[in-house]
Amino acid sequence: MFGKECKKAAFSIPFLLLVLVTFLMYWSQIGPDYLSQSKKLTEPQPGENYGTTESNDPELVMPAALDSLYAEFTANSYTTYPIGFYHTVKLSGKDTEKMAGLLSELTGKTPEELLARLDTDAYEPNSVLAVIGEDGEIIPTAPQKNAQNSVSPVPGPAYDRFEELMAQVDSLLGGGSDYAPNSLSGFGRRAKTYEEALADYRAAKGIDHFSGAHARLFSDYMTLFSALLPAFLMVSECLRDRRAKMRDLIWARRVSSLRIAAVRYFSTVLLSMLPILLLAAVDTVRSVFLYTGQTVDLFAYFKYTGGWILPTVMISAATGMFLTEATDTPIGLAVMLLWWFLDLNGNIFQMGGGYAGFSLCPRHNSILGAQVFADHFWALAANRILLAALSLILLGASALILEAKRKGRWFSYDSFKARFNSRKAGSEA
Amino acid sequence: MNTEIVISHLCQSYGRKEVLADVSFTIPQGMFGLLGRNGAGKTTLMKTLTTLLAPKGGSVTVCGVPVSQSLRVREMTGYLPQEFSMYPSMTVYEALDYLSVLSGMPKQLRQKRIPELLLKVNLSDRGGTKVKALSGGMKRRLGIAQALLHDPQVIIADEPTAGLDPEERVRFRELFRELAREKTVLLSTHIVSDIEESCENLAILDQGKLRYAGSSKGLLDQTGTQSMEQAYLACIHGTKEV
Repeated sequence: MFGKECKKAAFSIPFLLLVLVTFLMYWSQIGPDYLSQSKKLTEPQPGENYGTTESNDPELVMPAALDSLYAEFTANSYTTYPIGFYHTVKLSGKDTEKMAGLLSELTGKTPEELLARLDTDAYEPNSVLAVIGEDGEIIPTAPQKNAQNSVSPVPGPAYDRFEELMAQVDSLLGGGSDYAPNSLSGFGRRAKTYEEALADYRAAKGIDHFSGAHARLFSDYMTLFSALLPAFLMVSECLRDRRAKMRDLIWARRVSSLRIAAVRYFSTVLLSMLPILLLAAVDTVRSVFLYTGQTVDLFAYFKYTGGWILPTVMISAATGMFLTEATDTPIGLAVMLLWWFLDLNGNIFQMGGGYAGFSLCPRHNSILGAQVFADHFWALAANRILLAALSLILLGASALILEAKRKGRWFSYDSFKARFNSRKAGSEA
Repeated sequence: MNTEIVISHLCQSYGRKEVLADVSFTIPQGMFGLLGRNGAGKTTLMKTLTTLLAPKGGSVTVCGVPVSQSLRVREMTGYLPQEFSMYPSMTVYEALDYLSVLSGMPKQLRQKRIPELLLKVNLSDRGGTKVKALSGGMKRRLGIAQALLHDPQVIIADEPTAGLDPEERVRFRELFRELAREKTVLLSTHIVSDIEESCENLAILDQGKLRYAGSSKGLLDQTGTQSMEQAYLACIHGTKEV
């Protein structure tokens, strides 16, 4: 039965679209370039430009964060991303006074002095953090002070206190601002040192064996559309029997509902993974050639495909199946789309790893960061296991619903039609 | 082996609308007709017998097995719905093969049975034809074939001749008559002549109520009419249950 279901789904337009979109997304979003010589991980040499990094250096973070906050305060316009969406906050009079109080403690200016600066002419931050070089690289610069329009941190307060006050600022703004303690490092962007670059390289070599670094980036991108495409295929398969008017022929047979649901589910998961596995195989070979003479992990791509991408595929298909069986409509697609959209925006602040709780598509949008991955491995593992377990629960629930439908004990399109016809026949009689 | 279908005080409803009200009768082995106009409750009754609708009240047993034991009942029944089709891009053989897998038939049995059935329903030259390319009559014959795949003891056919030309209808009746020699065949229709030609026993449903259950001859005698059509009309409009 599994083979027949796979064949049935494989020779369908939704599957063809899934394959096409997968390859298209791979080509356009990752591109073959990510395994080219220009992206190869090489041992850094002293004196090179190693790019930038975020830091929690108080001497960098405090002035830059304060500068930004003061600019927004004077304009009474604060940018936040509460659930990953851009949002502008304008504070009421009372909250503005609270903000002035916080700024007062941070800067040493009185609240009255600060409030007097409200609604003055547009204020531009006086810190230029970086410029774009001739070759497109980011070159950090030292912050420059404008003597007339600037605030500086009050000398003395510990960074802990600074973080506490910034947390209050974030809370006053409704959350999602750059002033949240876990976002402050964004103000501390600076040039990476040779030692840091070397540590990154050694982690990529020792932990990732090079191919793991590329595989992780591969998984980061591929997971994004693996959250939607399986649901699309699954919904189509679930509704196919009704479209083909085959429900009664199938439901009246002795095959159990669990078997129908499980076979269709796992065939959809397998088919959804096939193009990804093919790409993983190809890129494994490419990574071997890219790192000729060095030890690469030959199974890195498959480990990441199975451990990182597969649970997303599973939950996408399971959600699609569950909602389709429950409602006899393709609403599962809309729900997955919404979940995907919220997740995508919610992960904006974790693009470099971190792998928060219930994330549908954990992000790690960098070829580096092996140590971050290693440090948060169990958080990621817990997330992936949780989604996989949830998908199996949804599969079980789908089977129960299907069994209820087969006995006329659940709403289905057919039972709705029967009621409608019965009512119509009654009124005609 | 017990081959009867026993329906006892069966009630069915869709929401607040009662579709079958206290229906009781027995279907013996052989050909049995279920007559009634559109909306009488025939399809609802048939779906109940095939476990696709759980009874709201009363009880139903198929060959001695209550319909609540759906797995066993599904093994014993073959169902031809009123409206059906199959995956359009599958061939006739593939569609039957798929459905026989769902019936739990092993590969060797499927490879033997499917050609036999195609021959029986006169579709042996259509095994490689896609379902979407079949005519209405051919689809109906394919429907019979799928109902017989697992050699069920009971065949339940809901309006099997609807939309067929007279020649096809005669062919169907012959096929069912042949099957009824060893099996219980329940045929529903609103066309009296379908039942008249082939069913010794019948039941008449009207607006969810049983108007008559018994032999065809008995219906004629009790309504004092000469033809089944007159007898049916007398039963439905006459007013009284017979």
